[in-house]
Amino acid sequence: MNKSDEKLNQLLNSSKPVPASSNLAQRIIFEAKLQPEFKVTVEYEETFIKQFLRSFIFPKPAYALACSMLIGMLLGWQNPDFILNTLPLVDVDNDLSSLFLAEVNFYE
Amino acid sequence: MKSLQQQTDEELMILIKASNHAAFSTLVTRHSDRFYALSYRTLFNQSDAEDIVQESFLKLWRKPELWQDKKHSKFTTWFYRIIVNACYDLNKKKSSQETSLVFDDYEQAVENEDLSHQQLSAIDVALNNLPERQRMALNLCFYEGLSNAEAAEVMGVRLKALQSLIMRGKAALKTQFNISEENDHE
Repeated sequence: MNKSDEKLNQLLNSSKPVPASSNLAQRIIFEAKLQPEFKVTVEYEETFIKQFLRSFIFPKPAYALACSMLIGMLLGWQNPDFILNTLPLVDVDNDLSSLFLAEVNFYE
Repeated sequence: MKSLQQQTDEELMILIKASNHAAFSTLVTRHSDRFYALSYRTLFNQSDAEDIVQESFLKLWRKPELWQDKKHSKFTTWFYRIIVNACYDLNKKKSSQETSLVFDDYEQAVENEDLSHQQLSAIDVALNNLPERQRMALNLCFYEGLSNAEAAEVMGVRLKALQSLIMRGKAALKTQFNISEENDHE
C-alpha cells in the first residue's frame, strides 16, 4: 500500500456514522409483532389453488395448433369438394418419364 | 440443541419461514446496526437510514419466502442487496421530488440540505459527493469489510466493474483532499 492510500484510509477511518436510535432493533421487533401473521396454511391453500388452476393452462403453441386444426376441419366439413379439387393430382408416369428424359439429356 | 443465538442466519431464516418471531428478533438484534451503518453511509440521514432498515426487516417478516436457501447465498449478502436497492430507490424518489419542486420550495430544501450537511464531517461530505455506485462500492468493501467478490454480488456488477468503481472513488476522494500520488515514490 502506498502513502497516498494510507492517508486516504486514515481519513476514511475517521468517519463514524451517527449511531442509530438505541431502540431501533426493539422497534422493528415490536412492529413485526403488530403485523398480521402470515399463515402457512393460507400459503399452502394459495399454492394448492394456483397448482389446480395451473393444470388448466395449456402452452400457447398448443392453442394455436388446436385452433388451426379446428379451422381446417370446419372448412373441410363445410366444403369437401373445394379441398379435393385443390389437391394436386399425382401423375406418376409423367413424373418418371420427365426424370428419365432429364437424365438422358444430362449424359448427352 | 443449539439456542437461537448460536444458530446461523440461514438456520434462523428457516425458523422465520415457520413464523418464529423469536428467531426474527434474534436476527434483527444481530444485524440491525450493521445494516443501519450501510444505509446511513449511503443516505447520510439518520431517520431515512433507520426507516430503510425497519422497512426491509418488516418486508422480510411479511414475506420470508423471498429468501431462497437453494441459491446458497449468505443471508447477509442477500440482505445487503435489499438494503442497497432500497437506498437507491429512496435516492431516486428524492431526486424526482426535488426536480418537481417549485423554485421557493427548492431554495428551502437546499437550505435544509445545507444545514444537515453542516453536521457532517469533511470526509462524509466528500463521500456524499461521490457518484452513488462509487460510494456504495467503497462502503461495502471498506466499511462493511466485504470481499470484492461479495460486494460485486451485492451490487449486481462484475468483479472488474467493482474494482474500477473503487479505484475511481478513491481517486476522486484523493483529488478532493489534495492527496497527491507523487509523494508515493519518495
